Amino acid sequence: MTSSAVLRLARLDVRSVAPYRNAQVLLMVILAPLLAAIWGEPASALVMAVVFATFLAAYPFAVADKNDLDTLYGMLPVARRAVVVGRLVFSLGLFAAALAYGGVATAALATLMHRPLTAEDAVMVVTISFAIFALMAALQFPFYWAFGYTKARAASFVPLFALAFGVGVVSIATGQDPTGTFPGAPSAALVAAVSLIGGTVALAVSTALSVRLDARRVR
Amino acid sequence: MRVVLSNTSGVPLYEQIKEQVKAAILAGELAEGDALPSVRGLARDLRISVITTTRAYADLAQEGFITNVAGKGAFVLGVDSELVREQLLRQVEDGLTAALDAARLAGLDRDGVVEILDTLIATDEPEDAGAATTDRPTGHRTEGQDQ
Amino acid sequence: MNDLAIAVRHLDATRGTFHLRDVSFELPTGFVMGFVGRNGAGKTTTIRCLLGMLTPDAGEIEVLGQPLPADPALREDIGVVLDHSTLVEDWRLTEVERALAPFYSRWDGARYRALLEEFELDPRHKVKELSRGQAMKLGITLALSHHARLLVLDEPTSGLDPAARDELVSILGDFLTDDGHSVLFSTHITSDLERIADYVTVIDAGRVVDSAPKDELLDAYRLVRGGPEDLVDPDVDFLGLRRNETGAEALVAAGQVDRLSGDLVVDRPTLDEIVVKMGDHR
Repeated sequence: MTSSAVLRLARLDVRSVAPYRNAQVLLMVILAPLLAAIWGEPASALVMAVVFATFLAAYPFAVADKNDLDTLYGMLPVARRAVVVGRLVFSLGLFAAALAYGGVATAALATLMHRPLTAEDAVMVVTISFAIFALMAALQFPFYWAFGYTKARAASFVPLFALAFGVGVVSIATGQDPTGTFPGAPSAALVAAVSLIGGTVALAVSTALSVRLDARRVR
Repeated sequence: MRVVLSNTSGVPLYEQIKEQVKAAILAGELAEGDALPSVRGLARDLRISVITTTRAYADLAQEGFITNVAGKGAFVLGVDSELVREQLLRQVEDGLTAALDAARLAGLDRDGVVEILDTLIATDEPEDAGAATTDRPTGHRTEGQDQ
Repeated sequence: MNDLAIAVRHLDATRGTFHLRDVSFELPTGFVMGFVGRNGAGKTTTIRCLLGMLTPDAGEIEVLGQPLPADPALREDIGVVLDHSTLVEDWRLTEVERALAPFYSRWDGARYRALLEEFELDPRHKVKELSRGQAMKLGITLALSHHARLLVLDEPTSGLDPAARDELVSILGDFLTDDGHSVLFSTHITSDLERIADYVTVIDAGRVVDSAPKDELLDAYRLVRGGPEDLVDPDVDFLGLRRNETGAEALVAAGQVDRLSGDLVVDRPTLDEIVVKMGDHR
């Protein structure tokens, strides 16, 4: 497994979803700031963008399932593990794009709504977004690799909906940034560190598990 | 080079190729030193397996009609080469043996056989000696071969 | 150059509830092997093992001289054409190239475009708009564009009309003018193979029934037919014996024909007849 193979596979994922991206991306672009405006919470634009990105991250699995791309990967001169890692890289790229767009939307909303974010808040929102994304991907992907998208879809959506719902409820119920609702108000640095490390560990464990589950799957 | 194969003649494809190339050589359509199509090119053109054309060429080489030069292809040898002559002699012998068998059944004696042979030679004389042999092999001529 | 394009020795493999047992065959470099058997006989499972998509339970496989599991780079030399598309159906043919070219160090874009033109495939068409025959030709175009030395085709002719099947035979003939090129193709339509295949491997119920040069295989058997009371000789193995009120029919090893008694018709079988009778035998 070479890093260039992983990058090529991540690019192949981009091309695989390319014919379908328009509607999905448009939805994310419109809904994220819209919901944030409705909730009156600029930072939730970023959080929502990231949550939508986790939806989109499953898209290569759907396209691969529908078009038997697993067999294509078997024909290409790449190791099977590189396919799994390539999908992770694709989803991280998607996260980065959502972060960039959500960041801009949040900043714009904050200015418009006269609710400026502190640097501390910004770091918290970004790192917690990463934790959400990492957790979602870490929970979903092993299901997909083990059973294929079609069979695993229903099960893998459960944690996603639970978290998305939770974020929304917390935002509305408290009327404030969900990142500020941690009991005992731990320091921003601690939350950021826990989010970053936790998310990274979750992705690493999940990917290692995915590689093993994928290798065992009967095709 | 003209090769026309029949699927229904019951004669193996390599045999058909062999006989037709041989006939072309003996009839002078292919001259000494002429290059034959490559084994793979011929297989492609005839839409048959490479093993089949390889076998036909190997047989032709063994019988002294062609030579396979590694890396260059197959070339026609002179008809007067030793092996071809031997092959032709064997054909003459085979034909005469068959004729003698038939003569025995018909009750013809030696003089009778010689007389028929003389007559045949006399009628055959103006024709090209090689052309007569093309009619000889196993009798599976495909259409268009006799012009 | 290694003289075997494919060597499979005593391969056992499991896919779901299906088992391959002791599958062995060899394809010399430069030739075509037909891999023949009924649907479900194990052709696709064997091919998946060859391509490294399925790990065997036992046995050895060598592809282009490399024992499996091999470095994935080996697949640069292998072109695979399946009976179904494994491309994103909404890709245009230009996008197919853009998606796959980066994976191949010897990708030849000019060749890709030239072959599309030769096969009359419109680069602006989407994968899902292609007919079965066009999809097969796209598969071959991809294989030839990365300069594969070994073509593996799984049921390439299924669903093709006779004209498209004929075209495939021409394409394979062109491919094989290079003596470093080899072809393995599985099919249950043996008429495609009857002429072009150099070697034939017959597989049934997960086991290899016979693997030999095609002419030897055809020579090795006779189809015998007789009356309803015939074909009862105890020292002859009758393969796929079928008996009804008007007669009996079976496949017999050519060497056993002398032992037959009765007024029988003895014919040389077609490949189809061999495959069918061998299957009936089990």
